[in-house]
Amino acid sequence: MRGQKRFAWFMAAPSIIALVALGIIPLFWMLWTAFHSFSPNPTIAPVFNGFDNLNNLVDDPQFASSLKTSAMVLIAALALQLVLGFLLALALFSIKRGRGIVVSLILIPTAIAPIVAGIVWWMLFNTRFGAINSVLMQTFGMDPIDWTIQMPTALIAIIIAVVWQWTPFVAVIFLGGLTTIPNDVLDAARVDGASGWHRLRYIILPLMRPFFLVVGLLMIIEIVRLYELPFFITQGGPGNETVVSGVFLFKLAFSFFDLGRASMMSVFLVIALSIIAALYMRLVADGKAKSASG
Amino acid sequence: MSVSRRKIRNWLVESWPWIVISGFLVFALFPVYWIILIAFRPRDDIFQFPAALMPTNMSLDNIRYVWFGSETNEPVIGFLGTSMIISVTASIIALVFGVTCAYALGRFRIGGKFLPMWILSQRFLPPIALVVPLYLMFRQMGLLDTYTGLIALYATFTIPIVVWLMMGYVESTPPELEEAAYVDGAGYWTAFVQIALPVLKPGLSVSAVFTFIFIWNEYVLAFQLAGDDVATITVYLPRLRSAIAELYGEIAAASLLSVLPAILFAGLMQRFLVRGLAFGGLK
Repeated sequence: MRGQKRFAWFMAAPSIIALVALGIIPLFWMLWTAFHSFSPNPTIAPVFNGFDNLNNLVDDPQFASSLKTSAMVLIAALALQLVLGFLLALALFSIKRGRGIVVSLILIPTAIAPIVAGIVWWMLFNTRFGAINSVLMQTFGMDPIDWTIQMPTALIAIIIAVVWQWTPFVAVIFLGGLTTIPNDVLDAARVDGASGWHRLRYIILPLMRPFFLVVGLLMIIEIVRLYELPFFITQGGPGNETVVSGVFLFKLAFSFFDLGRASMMSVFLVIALSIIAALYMRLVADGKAKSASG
Repeated sequence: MSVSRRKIRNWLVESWPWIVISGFLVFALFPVYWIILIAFRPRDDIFQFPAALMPTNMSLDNIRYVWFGSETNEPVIGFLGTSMIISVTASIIALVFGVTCAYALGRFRIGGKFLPMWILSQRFLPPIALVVPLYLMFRQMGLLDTYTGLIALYATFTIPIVVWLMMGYVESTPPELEEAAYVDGAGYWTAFVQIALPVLKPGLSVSAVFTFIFIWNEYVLAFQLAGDDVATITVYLPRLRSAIAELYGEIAAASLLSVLPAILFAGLMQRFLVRGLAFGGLK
């Protein structure tokens, strides 16, 4: 038995070492840099400056506005993804033929690189040469819209792109959830005369609750790391109206080279994400306990 | 009147899934259609207002400019090659490290509950949150703009995905086969390589698909921690935009080329998904 444990540790060691070296050490390094000020000149050593970075960050109106923009994207995109994703999952669950091919086609947006997604939607939303204005003009006789250089359409463009990229993923997770509902439960309800709506409201939705929570948490993380879509579609504009938290972090770090303040921003994001991850782990544990007792 | 209304209702009840699916397919695939259209459209046709929604003249110029390079841009092939080297190498490392780790955790239960939780929790740290300290670390260690640096990072960031996927596979295969091998005098390593690994193959191919797509598509680290000597395809694409003219057709053509490997792997992922769904149906 002892030999077995030793062997097991030996097998797990490379992963643990890699994760400590490039996952944990940077975290601590970040804690250190968050309390130092950096010169743009890398040969000048960083200077300890206490809570200056935090104060500067909180005083920066862009900090609050970037969080607000991220929150707006999150709320709008998440609502659309949950509704559309669930509707799509129900539709996929209901069809008997062609599910495999439909799922693989629908998943294409999720498999495409975020930077390419940004490129595609930047092209579609282009005022003069884009397809969307072309449709609006030729089909609906409308005037062209300057999508990406005015509000709120710039933010709407980003939200549409986020929904396009992630709704397929959401739908497939939901579809996986729907297939775990035992058929006899639904059959019994049908025999008892429950209508389609009642089966949805009182059986399917309650059983799908854990899947909604998981999707919600994964999408929060996705919005926190959102960078490529705003970077390509609006470049943060007009003004700074579509600067989400990820874009703000990058501006601090690599446009202003204020690495101290950027580290403080990262610390803030990591703390926020840790809380989310802890919540998720709790939910997974709860789900396991439930399925074990059920 | 009421008969036809009932007919419409019945038709709706019957075919609503296909209405929803068709609508969504248009939404999901129209952007893909558009990028293909622009990639094969001659420059004069691209810059027309309003844009033609249907195919006009066909031209391979954009693809040619991107493939062989032109006055405004470098050839794409080097960047695709860099991406391929990095994605394949890092995926292999992540798979080897990840599957041994998942086996140790799933079979021998080391580290109690904490260790698996800790590894899985790393999945929730997006690279963007760590990019600043990683940049400083790499600058100090001379790893900026190197294959070693990027490969090490990508392998590490995808290990939790592999462990997360493979633990499920390890736990769902019975340990009896390996135990029988121990009785026959096989060592732990031999039993793992010769008996456990072949059973875990389907899980490994699924993991390979996920890690490859993740690495192939990554932009943030590839741009900030490398991007000059070692430049991936995702770094190449935005460069076309900052050039003198906006190289619409070239960007579309390069995007199309860059997407193909990921789509190919998505095709593989679909097989796994269908099998996963079939498993769900068996319950």
